[in-house]
Amino acid sequence: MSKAVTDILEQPIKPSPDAFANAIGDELVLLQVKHGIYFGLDPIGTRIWAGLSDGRSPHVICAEVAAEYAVPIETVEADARKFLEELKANEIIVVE
Amino acid sequence: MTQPTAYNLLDYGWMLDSRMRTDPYVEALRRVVRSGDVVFDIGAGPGIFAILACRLGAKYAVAIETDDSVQLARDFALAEGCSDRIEIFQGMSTRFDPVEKADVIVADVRGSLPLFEHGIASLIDARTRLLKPGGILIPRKDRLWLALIESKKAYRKFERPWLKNRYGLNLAAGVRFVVNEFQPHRFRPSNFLGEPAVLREIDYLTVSGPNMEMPFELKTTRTGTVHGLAIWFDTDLYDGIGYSAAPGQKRGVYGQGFFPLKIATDVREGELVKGEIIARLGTQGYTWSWRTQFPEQGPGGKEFRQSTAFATTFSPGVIAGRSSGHVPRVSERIEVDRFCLERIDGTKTLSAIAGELQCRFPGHFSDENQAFDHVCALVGRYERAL
Repeated sequence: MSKAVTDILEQPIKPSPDAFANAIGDELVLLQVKHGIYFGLDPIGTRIWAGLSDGRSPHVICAEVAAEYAVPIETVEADARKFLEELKANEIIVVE
Repeated sequence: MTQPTAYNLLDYGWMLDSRMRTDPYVEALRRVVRSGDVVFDIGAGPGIFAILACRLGAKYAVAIETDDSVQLARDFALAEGCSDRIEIFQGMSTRFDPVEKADVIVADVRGSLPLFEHGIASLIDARTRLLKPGGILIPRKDRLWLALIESKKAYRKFERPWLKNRYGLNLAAGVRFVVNEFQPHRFRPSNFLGEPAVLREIDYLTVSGPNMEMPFELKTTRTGTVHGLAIWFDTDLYDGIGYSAAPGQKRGVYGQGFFPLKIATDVREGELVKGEIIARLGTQGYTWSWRTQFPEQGPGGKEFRQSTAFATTFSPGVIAGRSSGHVPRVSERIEVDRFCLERIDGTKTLSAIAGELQCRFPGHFSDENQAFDHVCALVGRYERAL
């Protein structure tokens, strides 16, 4: 019997085909075109989005961000969970 | 629900003078209006179709329009000898509460495309609330068409001055905004890179909402460069009477909408191009988004996602201000408007409110005239929306 994966960091997520993005400086604006919902991403959110767009897993992206910003991995993962759950709830990202 | 539009009287005159548009409307009215009919003209401008309906024998006609130009319908009706059979309703058609429903509703609430402001929503409301059972709605159907376009001329404004300019400036940062703008253009069939296809048929007797998700698949019929997509419409006003805004048709008021590609893309004959056009109505009108895929371009293909939402260089801070979790802060501008609105009680004049406003916020308004202008503009926002 397979166990449901509830941790979003463990799920194979990718940007939704309905998520459109445009950069402003080092930040990013996301739009869910079918719901008309906007998101403004700060540089770390932008970094996570770029990783997802390149097909990397959330765990790998969190490790990269933790190393780059010298932040404990637990902190990055906790923030990333909240961020990704919000994107998922708004269909900005989807589970493959 | 015709909202205030960007049209002025000159525009209405120009549209009326376009035989390509007006002749079919007149012919459709001739065919359907019977003696004693009640006719509503929605998005009437200065009320020409309402006056024509009276001339064709209507018991009376109502010109429904938010713009002030509708007041001219009284003068036209007087000149035409039908002033006793013309009514004017200046406001949104969704606020119009008729004493009897219409036998015929005639409407032109399009812009360059039928998906324009609240036009579709207005027609849905008109069909369900304002039309007698068995009544006739003009137009009956619109069809949106789509074609792949090769046109260096149309694409030029998306490249210059951003990528090329005579001053040697690096303006490349502007490209990612301008390529999210769709522009009117007039193409020729020679600009097509493949056969046009129907993107969506909008049947006004059945359409259920203003938002449209329109997937497409097109094949190129020759080698060339795709600079973008063109969208236009044709219409069936009544029983085959209509007109088309297709490239190569008689010159009229409509052109085509040009949706540029982020990067002009070379294609070969027989290549598949697919994607989706999404039109979503918001408070400021339609947001158009277009996803264009070239699945045969290298491993994994090539895809562009563009949206008119990105045509503005807004900051993430502005976006944050539109999110559901945003907590607006109290500012003096908010306090000024709150103070004004609280003073509107059905007895106070604009001048009296302006006087109180200037006393309360002397630093915000240099004199009472400035306060008066502010009150007028604020009140006008609500009165115009009637």
